[in-house]
Amino acid sequence: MSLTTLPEQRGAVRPSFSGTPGRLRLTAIGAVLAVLVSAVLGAVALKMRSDALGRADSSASHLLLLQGVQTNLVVADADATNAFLKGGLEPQEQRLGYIKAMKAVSNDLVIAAQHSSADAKALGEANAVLNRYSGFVGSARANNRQGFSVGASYLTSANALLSDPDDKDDVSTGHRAIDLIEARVAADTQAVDDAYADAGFARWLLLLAAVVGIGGLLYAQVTLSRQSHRYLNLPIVASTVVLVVTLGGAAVLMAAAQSKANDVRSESLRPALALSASRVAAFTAKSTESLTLIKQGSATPDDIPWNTEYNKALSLVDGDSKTQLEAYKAQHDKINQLDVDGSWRSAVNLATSESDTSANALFLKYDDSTEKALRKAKDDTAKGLSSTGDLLLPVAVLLLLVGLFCAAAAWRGVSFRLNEYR
Amino acid sequence: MKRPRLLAVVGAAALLAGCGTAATSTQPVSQARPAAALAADDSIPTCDQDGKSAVASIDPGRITTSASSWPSDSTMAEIKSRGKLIAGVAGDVTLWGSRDPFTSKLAGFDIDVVKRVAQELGLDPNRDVEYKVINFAQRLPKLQDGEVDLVADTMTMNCARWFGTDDNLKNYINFSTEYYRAGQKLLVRSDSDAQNVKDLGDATVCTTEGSTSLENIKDLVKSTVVVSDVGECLVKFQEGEATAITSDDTVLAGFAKQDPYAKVMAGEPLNVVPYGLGTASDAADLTQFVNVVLEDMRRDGTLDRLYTKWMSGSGTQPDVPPAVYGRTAAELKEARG
Repeated sequence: MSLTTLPEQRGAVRPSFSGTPGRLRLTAIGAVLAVLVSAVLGAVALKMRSDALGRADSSASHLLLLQGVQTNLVVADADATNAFLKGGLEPQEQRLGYIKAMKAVSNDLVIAAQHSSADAKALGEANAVLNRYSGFVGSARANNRQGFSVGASYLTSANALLSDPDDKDDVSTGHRAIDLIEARVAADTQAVDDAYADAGFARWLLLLAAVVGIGGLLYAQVTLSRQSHRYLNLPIVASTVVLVVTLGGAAVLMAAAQSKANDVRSESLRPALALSASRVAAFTAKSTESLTLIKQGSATPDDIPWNTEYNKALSLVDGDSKTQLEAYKAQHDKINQLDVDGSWRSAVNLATSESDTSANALFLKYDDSTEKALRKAKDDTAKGLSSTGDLLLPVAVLLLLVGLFCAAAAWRGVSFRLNEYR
Repeated sequence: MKRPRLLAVVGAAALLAGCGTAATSTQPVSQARPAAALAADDSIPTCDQDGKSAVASIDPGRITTSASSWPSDSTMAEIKSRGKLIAGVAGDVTLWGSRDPFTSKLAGFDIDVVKRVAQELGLDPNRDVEYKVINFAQRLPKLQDGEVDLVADTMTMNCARWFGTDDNLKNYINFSTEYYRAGQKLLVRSDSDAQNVKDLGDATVCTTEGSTSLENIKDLVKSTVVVSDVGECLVKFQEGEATAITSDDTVLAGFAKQDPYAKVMAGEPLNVVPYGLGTASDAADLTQFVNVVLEDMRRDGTLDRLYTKWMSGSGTQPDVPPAVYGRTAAELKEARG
């Protein structure tokens, strides 16, 4: 393009936008742009909510998966420590329980590590620590069965690989396994919160889409009325109505999806997280009970480490599970009192008993009831969140198509008036 | 020792020849022998605070194993009326204090000594002893807090524990007379050619927090790994995180017994380690009573039998050390400030 041609072109453009026809053309362009922008904004809002709910679903699923890993780890540890108290004659069920829990941990860790690169790094590290953990438990058991006292040292070392509130890092292992998993659980919890916040933000974007689109069409209608002295331009009225209906439908759909997601969060996800956290604390308390007995003489009347975990576990459950946990506490208190009083043998007998009223049997009731409740809450969460945003993306596509239709109608409406000037 | 002094001594082997009757609760009431001169022993430090040997304990005086000789407000009377002796012991030191996984009972040299003390207190040694398994770093605090009556846990008699340290002048306890003389040694792999600590090169040596072994070794080796429970050292050693363990030869003998691929390095020990039973600093009467019991055990051959029972075949079986006295409760109080 040479510089000498520019004034000629400007001269050709200027008459197109001057006078009434020019203003009508500008109105048409403005209306078309407003509708298209509105459609795009609306589609983006729908996609944003769909993506946010998808992230909420994904993060919540990952969060529950990780809490499952955490729970299985403390289940395994509780089985290993309690079985150790029985020496070579460990109860077969506890041994099988340990193997089953560790198998689940291995499987779920592999799945959980695929969630993100940060998960891959942290959970890979946790997996390495857990390999050491299971090796130590194996050595503890083998030495215990041969009558070597170093078995107890192996078990203590194994337990220390899981978590140590006083010392987060170990010279030889780096981070502890449960601490690593807890860090990812915290990241997932934050991700779920962020996803819900993003989903909430989408409604403001949809409102903006409505203001731009409907406002643009109304402005075009008013401008045409002034220029042509006709109150209604049917194509523009039609596109306005279609856009209002479509955006209204999208708003209703988004609100319904958000409402359902909120319901899932409050009725399934939060209870699942609470149950899961309760089980982690309760099984940690159970391990603490056995480890305290293994370290004979370390029991204290206030029993702080056990009570800390127990109170945490109790505060997160209600109904039968709460009653069952309280029944277990009554038996645990007897065990601790016997140990404090120096009746260590009786304390161990009580802690390893399998009778119907034993600590193990009462704890098993809590284990069963919370496991069932947790499974249901997890299933409800997965089903609820996975289907929440199903219609949002198709409606986003529809909105884009509607936008194109409305833009064409708006252009057509103004064209009718422009033809009157030819 | 720089100056001559009189210290009480009772040499068990010399004094008790022919007195090998089995220890029972019905044996005659005994009383410690009067103080006698002690030959100088350069391997044991003399404490600056009172000029006495680290192995010198409190003379039993009039205390005997007969309950009638105990004042009504004595520690022994209190323990007897309570109906149980509370003892701090190791749970992971094979041969000295560890749990037998088959019987779930604690067993070892120190456990047998505690049982004898309980028996002489008129308690049932199998029923009336409450064991508190403690690690090395807990030995002094548990006594000071009154959580245990005595500690029988391969505990080294030294001046720092008699009188406290510059860091903690109140961190002191009483000791009985010496009942075993161990030595600080090294445990290495069975295929190791190392003959002494200098041969270890870049080895990482495991030792225990709060032990005298740590203080003695830390300047001699390149790196150390310190654990709270001594049993963890064997874990570190077997897992390859430590190439050697330093501790008392008594402890290491227990490790070697559990691991056929480990051996206690031959040769002279790095340090001499005299064992005494620990009692609280305000329970001098119990210290005296325990000394009477140990005297009986020397005289009736019980200590000899325990040496054979637990340490036979370990390559670590010294003679029973003689009792050394010379301290009094009053002098200790004054020296401790």
